[in-house]
Amino acid sequence: MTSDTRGGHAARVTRWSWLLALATSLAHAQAPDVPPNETPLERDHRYELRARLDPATHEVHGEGRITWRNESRVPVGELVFHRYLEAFRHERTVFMRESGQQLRGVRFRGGGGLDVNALELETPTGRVDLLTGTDDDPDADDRTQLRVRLPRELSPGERITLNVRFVAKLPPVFARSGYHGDFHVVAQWFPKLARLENDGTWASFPYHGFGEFYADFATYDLTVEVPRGWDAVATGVERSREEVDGHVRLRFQQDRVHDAVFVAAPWFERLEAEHHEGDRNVRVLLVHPPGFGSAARRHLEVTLTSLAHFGRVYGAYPYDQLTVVVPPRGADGAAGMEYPTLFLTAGPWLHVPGLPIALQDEVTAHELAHQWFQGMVATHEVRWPMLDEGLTEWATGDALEAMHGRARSGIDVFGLSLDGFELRRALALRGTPTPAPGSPVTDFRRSNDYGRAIYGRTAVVMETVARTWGRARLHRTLGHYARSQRFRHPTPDALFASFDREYGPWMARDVLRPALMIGAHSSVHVGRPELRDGRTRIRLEQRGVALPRRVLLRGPSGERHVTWPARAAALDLDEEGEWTSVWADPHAHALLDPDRRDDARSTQPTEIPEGLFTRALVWLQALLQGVGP
Amino acid sequence: MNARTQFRRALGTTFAVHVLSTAVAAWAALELGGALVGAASPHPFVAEGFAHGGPIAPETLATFGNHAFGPLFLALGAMLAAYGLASIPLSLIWLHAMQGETAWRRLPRQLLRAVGAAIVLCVPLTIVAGGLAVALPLLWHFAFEGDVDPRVHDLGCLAALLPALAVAARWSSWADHVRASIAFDLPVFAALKAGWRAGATTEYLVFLLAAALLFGGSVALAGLPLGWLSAQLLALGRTFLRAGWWARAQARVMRLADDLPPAA
Ligand SMILES: [Zn+2]
Repeated sequence: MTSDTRGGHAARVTRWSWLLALATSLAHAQAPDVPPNETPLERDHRYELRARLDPATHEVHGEGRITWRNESRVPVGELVFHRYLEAFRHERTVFMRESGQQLRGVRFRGGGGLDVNALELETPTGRVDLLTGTDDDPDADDRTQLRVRLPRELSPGERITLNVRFVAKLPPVFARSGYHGDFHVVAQWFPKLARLENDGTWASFPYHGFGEFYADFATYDLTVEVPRGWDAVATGVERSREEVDGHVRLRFQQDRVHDAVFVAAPWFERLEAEHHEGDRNVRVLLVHPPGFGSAARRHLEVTLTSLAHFGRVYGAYPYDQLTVVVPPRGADGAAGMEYPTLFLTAGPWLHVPGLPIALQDEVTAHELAHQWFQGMVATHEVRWPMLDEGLTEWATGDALEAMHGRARSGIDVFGLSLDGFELRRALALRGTPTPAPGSPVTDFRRSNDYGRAIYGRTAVVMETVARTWGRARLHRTLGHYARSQRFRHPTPDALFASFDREYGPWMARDVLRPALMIGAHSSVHVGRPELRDGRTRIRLEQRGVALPRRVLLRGPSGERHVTWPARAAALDLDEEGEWTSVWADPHAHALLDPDRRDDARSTQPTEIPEGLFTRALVWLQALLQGVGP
Repeated sequence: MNARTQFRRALGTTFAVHVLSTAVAAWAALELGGALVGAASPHPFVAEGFAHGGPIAPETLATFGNHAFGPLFLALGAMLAAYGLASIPLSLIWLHAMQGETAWRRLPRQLLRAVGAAIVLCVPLTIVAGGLAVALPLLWHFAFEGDVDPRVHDLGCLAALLPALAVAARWSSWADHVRASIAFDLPVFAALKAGWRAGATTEYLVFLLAAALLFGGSVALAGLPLGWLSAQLLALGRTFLRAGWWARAQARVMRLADDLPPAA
């Protein structure tokens, strides 16, 4: 199952795939660049929602009008809604059982729920109640999905309007949705139609511990009422704000998004900025708790820098507004979560330069990258989490590398620095094996394995491609994928097609599919240099995914590099001169090697790195003076 | 007799103390480097990996983790403990040098007293200061379990560490003055009394701060060209700073301890 049996095969196919690569690149030279798909396919879905938040009971009383069109090729006789707040009603739901009643270290503390009190279909002869007669057992273990029968089948292209009334009960903030004190994150809060695939099947699933998103793009028109003195931010652009009988009523609108949330509190402090890209202006609004000013300014800075970076690589951010929410201390369950045009970041109140990057910049860059990989390229998060979290994780690391430099992109604290992707390699490749990144959410039992495989390994595979064949080419490839799949719902085939278009058909077949779908490694083993008669013989072998590597030789006569092409499973060097040391991939391009210790051999003892003795001496002197007389 | 005279009398001994601690440190650093190289030799370039994007963490840990780190930390711990024990007789000899002569005959008796006083003082210090350092921030944290401005919470936690620091400084100054008194042949209980009356908590904190600054400077300079030399000068400065503190401590107990034997 693992990598180590694939080397020979991969090496053989690579040889003639060079020709194919050349042919395809010539073919593509004529084709115009893919026009960005700016038009939503699902232009006829519309949610008009009205919500009133009661902060005392932490309930949202809502009603809505949903317009929906059957965009599949076949007639449909039922509708499927997601009612994901039901996941937090008790401990027996799928979410609770899979997540072990905790998420990212935050424990489940109390009940939530989504009561759908009315669901009616508008017909020429009046409204038809759809709830009566449905199989909706209030005592069922998992009520996160609601199926209702239509009075008659709906033919392809036909449109319906539904009226809905509901009460959303927010839990103490646990997994994204909920309240902490008077901070309210209102997500997954209304009955939302699942996505109907082309063949007429509903892509519906219970709310899983690790994945939740897959829905049609739609136009959202959201009216929110919060008590006087409170403020709210939401998906989309704020169109109006007025005071009505003791409440503040705000209206938000956004088209081409697949979800809508709002966040409310009485203490928001605001920071604003403009992001310019070509002829587009994006208003960036950041709200934060009192006292978080210095951290908020850093989050805004990272947001603006990353907006420019992601826009350049994956296509400009297409909406008029982006809203960033810095959650208060204690609302950890809501921290670090993405929604269309709005995300929640995380971190301490104080921005301390030099603190580990993971604490400050990383979450902001990550949640922003989701605007592309999930927000606009709306993949099936439960079936293909790597297309969502995996690509986002690579895009995050890539942005941090551009921001901080490779050596400091992971950790940069008190003079100790670490490459962010080396950190991900260490977490993803070592330790107990996990399912491959191409696995669905349901294959994972432990959140640690999910993180290592989906986030870590996908990012490490992408970064290996970037370092081996050049970052600009990978930017071009993922840029093509993100632009051509914008406002679509692609599968990995679309991603692999973009890779094959840039590199040739061997890329998906020999590198990406083995590494992502099977979880193959790519490791090398270097033999000891044999010096005889003024010549040096060294044998190097590679296993798993075949990657081209550079080899560094060192000896009394100096240093030189040798190229080791991917097609050679083994490399037998027979070089003139005395080369006492050999090091495969000295610049660490191939991150798919779980153990690099056998990537280098030498006939000489290792030298103490310069400065190590002085540093050790200084520290030891201080220690001795500390315990001494 | 004032502190300056005592400091000057002990210049030679101070330098010898410095040379001794440096020699022990250099020996340990060499052993450390040798052990690391020994562990890394089958895997060349592991150390060189530090140059490319920081340490190659998993390989570094795997290389040294199995064989090198455990025994190394044990050996370092044992060396520190041994030097810590040796510091009691060393400080007595140092204090004698400040008095003008080393009274070898009285040393064993003073050593016994100094060890006794150190035990009597160390145990309660660890309990009280350690307890305060843990308890006060926790108390502060739980007093505001609901919603509190995170700035108030975090700065309050930091401020709650100050009492423990003050207690530790007061106690350390006491312990040093007790030893200075014992070097004048005072019995343990008289020394405890004289040492307590010396006070000098603020001065001890200033001494600690200055030593920390010198150490920070030597760490910062160690990586530069000729850093070795500058780091050594700063380390030497730290030893003489300590000598200055001992000299003043001795002068202080001489003023305070009215029942000092006439021999001093
Ligand atoms: Zn994510």
